[in-house]
Amino acid sequence: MAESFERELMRGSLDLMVLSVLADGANYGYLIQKRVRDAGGDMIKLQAGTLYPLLHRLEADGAIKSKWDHSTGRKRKWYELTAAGRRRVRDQAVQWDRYAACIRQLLTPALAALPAN
Amino acid sequence: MSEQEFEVYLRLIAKLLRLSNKQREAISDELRDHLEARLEELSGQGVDRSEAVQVALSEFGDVNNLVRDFIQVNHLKIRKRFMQTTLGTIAACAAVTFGVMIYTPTNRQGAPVQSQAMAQGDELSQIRSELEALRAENELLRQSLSMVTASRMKELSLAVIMYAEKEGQDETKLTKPSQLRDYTDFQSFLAPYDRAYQASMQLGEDVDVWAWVDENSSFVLRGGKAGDPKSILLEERAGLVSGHRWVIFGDGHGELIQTKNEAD
Repeated sequence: MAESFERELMRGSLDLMVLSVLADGANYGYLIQKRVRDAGGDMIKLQAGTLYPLLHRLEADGAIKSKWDHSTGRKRKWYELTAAGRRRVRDQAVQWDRYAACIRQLLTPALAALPAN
Repeated sequence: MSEQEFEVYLRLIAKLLRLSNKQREAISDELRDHLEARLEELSGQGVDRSEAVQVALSEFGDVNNLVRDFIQVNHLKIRKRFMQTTLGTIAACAAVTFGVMIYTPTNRQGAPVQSQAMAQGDELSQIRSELEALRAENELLRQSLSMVTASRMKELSLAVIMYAEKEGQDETKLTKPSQLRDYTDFQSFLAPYDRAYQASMQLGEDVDVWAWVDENSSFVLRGGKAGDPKSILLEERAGLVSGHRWVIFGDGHGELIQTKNEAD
């Protein structure tokens, strides 16, 4: 079995993963990356070089907004969902849930029919 | 040690980013916070500090992809601003046109007959003043629209600095944006593009180098026999171009991005 999810499989779902982390409240890049990785049990390879442009794109799309915090002595950029972002998470989460159910329904008999490695 | 290595890395990224100083600084600050947080975590796990620095940097992924993605996000922002201005112009024109239409005499059929001539005179002068206002507003919007277009074009005005070194003698050529040729039909770029530019340089008697740069700052560099573009000796693409002794490639801000002489 592969050590991480294939890139093609991840494509299209990273936005939702990041938005879902932010649905729990404001967060910053490093912890967002950690939360996504932890959720995938290290199967999700979300590099910082991928995450930050993605965050900036989501911000340009109006799904999230950011503000700087200097209180810890280090400049840290916090992100949080906008109202549009919350709607987007909800809509996409419903879609993904249905999609996953559909895939599961097709895969379960297929896996049962195929010999295990 | 760690700060130095992080700073070198961040400076390289900032150098490659075709963004304003403010944007570069903000991106550097954000990435620095990430690197330092990762360094703290690894150090806390007992990883040797210099090793932790290397791990933190290597986990970041490919610099070229990072830079390309940030630039694409910036293009997205510019396009959105452009669209907003365009839509604003259309909306304003529609609103003013609608305003003019509802005040035209044909829509005022209920006006008293005895005062019709006077009313028509008033309405005509009102329409005239509204048309003047419409023209003034259109001009204002047209100006702001061309400002956005100009700022976008300014950003896209890339220059190519080609630098060559042969037998200890340096040759440098700066091709200004106005001298670059459009290459709208060139198909070799990695990222989609609207425009691309070409510059060329002769090295010694027998080698020519052609460089293309597109608006997403993807580079294609090709070297061949002088006067024969089809005789390709070297072709590299994407981000930093390297691989040949005399090839050093720069950007349009007067900052040379030098690549190591690995072919020697």
